[in-house]
Amino acid sequence: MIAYIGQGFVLAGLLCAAAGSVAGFGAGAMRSATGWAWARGLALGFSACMVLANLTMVYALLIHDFSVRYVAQVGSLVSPAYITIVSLWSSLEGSILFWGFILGIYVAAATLLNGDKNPSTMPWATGVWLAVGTFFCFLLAGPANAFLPAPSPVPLDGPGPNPLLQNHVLMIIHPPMLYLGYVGMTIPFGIAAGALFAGRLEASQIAPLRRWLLVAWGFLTVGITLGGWWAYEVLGWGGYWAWDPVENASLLPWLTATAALHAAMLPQRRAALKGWTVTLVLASFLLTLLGTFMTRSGVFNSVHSFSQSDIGPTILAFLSICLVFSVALLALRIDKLEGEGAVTTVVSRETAFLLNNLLFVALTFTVLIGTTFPLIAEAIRDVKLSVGEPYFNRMAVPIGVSILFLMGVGPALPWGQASTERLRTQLVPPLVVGALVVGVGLGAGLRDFWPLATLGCGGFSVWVTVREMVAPVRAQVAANRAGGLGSAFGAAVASNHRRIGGYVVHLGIITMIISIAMSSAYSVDAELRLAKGECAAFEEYQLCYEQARTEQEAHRSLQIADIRLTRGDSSSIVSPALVTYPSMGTPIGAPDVRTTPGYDLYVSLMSVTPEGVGLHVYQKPLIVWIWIGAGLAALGTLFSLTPLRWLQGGRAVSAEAAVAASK
Amino acid sequence: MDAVLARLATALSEMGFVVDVTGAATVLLWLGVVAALVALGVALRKRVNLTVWFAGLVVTAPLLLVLGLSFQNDPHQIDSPLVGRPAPDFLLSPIDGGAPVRLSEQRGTPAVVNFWATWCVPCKAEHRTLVAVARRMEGKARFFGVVYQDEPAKIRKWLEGAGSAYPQLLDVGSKAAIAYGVYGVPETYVIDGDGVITYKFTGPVDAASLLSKLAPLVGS
Repeated sequence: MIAYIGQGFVLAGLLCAAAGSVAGFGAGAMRSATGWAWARGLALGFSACMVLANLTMVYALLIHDFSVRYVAQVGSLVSPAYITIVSLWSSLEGSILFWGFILGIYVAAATLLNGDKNPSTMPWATGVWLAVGTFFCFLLAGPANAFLPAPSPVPLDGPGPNPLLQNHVLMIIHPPMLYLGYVGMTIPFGIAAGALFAGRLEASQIAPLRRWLLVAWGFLTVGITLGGWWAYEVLGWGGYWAWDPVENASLLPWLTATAALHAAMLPQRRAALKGWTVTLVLASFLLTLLGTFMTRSGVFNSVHSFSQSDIGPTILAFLSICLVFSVALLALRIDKLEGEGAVTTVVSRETAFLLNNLLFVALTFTVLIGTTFPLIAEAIRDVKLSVGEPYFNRMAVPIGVSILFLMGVGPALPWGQASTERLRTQLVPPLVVGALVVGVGLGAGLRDFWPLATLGCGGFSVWVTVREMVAPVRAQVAANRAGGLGSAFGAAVASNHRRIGGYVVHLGIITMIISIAMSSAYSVDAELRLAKGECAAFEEYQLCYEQARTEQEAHRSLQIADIRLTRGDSSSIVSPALVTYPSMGTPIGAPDVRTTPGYDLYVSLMSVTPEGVGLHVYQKPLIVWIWIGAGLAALGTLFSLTPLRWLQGGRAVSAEAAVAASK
Repeated sequence: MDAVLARLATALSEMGFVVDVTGAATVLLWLGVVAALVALGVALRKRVNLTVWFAGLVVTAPLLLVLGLSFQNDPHQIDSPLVGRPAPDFLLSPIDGGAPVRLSEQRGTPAVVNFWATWCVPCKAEHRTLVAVARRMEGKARFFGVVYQDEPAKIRKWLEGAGSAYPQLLDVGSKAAIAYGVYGVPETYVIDGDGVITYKFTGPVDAASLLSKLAPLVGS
């Protein structure tokens, strides 16, 4: 019964999306207000159907209705309720259904927030969103149908979701965050395509374009970092990023979206580079589709892959259609967008933005080529090979450090032409700070080029960022002081919230880059074999193997080794484990990680035998700052997106005016 | 049409590309679409920005071809360094008692060695395939099941339900598995009459693939 209700919602969603898409495109072409009203209504109908279909599946999961095949696949009577809900996205069909849910929410929010503004482009955008919705509904109705009835006889119990999904809370948050990032790219894609269709991109559309892009970017940032954190805390190999094809697939749209966020500031300021901005937005969406294909086609071997499935060719066909559509649309319409302005100055913030864009695009191609190269090699020479860390690191480190440097240069330069005098006052103090940081690094005994370069550029960029974040607020507070310091400060923060948020994101990213550089350059590790009662020294620690024990849980068994960790006078027990799931052959490590602000001590259990234990111990500096940096970036994104109008009161003075007044 | 595709696949293979018939169809489709898009670009040259059109094609077309061709590969197929080398010998006891079996005893007959376990879910479906193929190849090829990291009681119970047509051997201490470099179960090795490994299946085998690997060895 539930299966039929669910299928009904999916089919109704398909109908709404297809009809709404046609209505949207028609309304765009004929400038019909009625058509657009229909498209908006159908968009909301599609969203409602997606939400209801998902609620139906959650209900089926919760009541353990094993007559629904998906529930029979991933449900289990022994799973706790929250795991049962999570299993909504734990397997292929459910994850596509959940995808539809998120798309529904996004489409509804974008439709309602826009209302009937921007009537020349938004009907097109609605049409594009619903075309994407049509495709996912089609997947749900056909090749990836989550509501198929179970083959009879209906099983009495199911195996439960993928065990990897059950063993850490991060694994519950990581996939939805990533989906929110991936699916969110649909909205800016629609707006950008709408601008191309209409042949114009006005300031009133760039603002929502950037805002939706920022929403998706923020979720993507959080999603990617959570994935790395999960790998680090759970998989036990001491790392957080392996340049795995699917990790790369999530990084690619992040890179182009970052470039697009910056590029979009240029048409806002200078009416320049509209075509380029739009191209980057289209590319970000196309790369999310590529990522979807990579995870769900079974073409790549990765911890992330869903089981081999037949929807690969369908997604590839959709990706091809979207690619051809985007290229054709760009080629036909891009010339209509350009022509109003150009970047003419050499030493200016505009140039820094262009360089930033070049670097991000270069990095995108680097990662894309490294990811697809094994496929090319296999097609041409039938060799299995994997492109490993050395390639990616050799390419990514110089580009990453250059980007870090530009994060200082860009904000320090003014828009338009900069005078030599201005350059000196803007750049010399932060450069001195950067040099001082390098000096401190040298003093601390660091001798390697790239870590020192990272530190220097980091110090330089932090100084610029903090200065640029505080300066307009200070100037504005000074200008409005008469009405009370507190409210002047509130108003200044409120009217600068986008700038402040942006710079907080920068600080977060700088923190991440520095800690990634330090933790990969100065990590030490050792493999220890300890007999019972035996001790070994590692850095400043003494590790003694006390005992091994096994614990049996409902869905897994753990072999745990208790290791006494002594440093100076303090001692504690670390308990790394090997976890075995009945449905998987090889056991998975469950490391014990001791985190301090300076470094992490990471103890991973490799083997347990009657003779003793094998341990892999790592000391990795500054790891925790990677997660903190990502948190800062998320906070900055949130702050930038929050309007804060209530703080502004009646006397908002724009940042530029305040700065000008203070000069 | 099939003949054309087969010839194209052969031609491409001779050029060093690894393409099966589906791959050849993909290549053909791809060539057609790319040609159409190039023609369309030229036809619309007054209305389109040709730089963008062709730059877009240059970036996206090769990517799509590679992705399209990648369906013929199975990423889980891990090359074994043992392919082309003599199969490691083993002496293992059957689970139902009886004399220990040595792999090298009956040289001259091809063999199939399947590593499996009762805790392995895909092994169950595979087992049915193996039993069917073993019955069909009776007298032409020998089949061995090697049970990996498991308990005799559980194996007997499992086999009672699933049935068997060939010796199931208990790999005490995983010695055979280590010698073959077994990475996970199921894995299946195809060994020719001279005792050389000719193919390795990672993951469950299907009847058609297994028969196609055995056909040249049994010489029929």
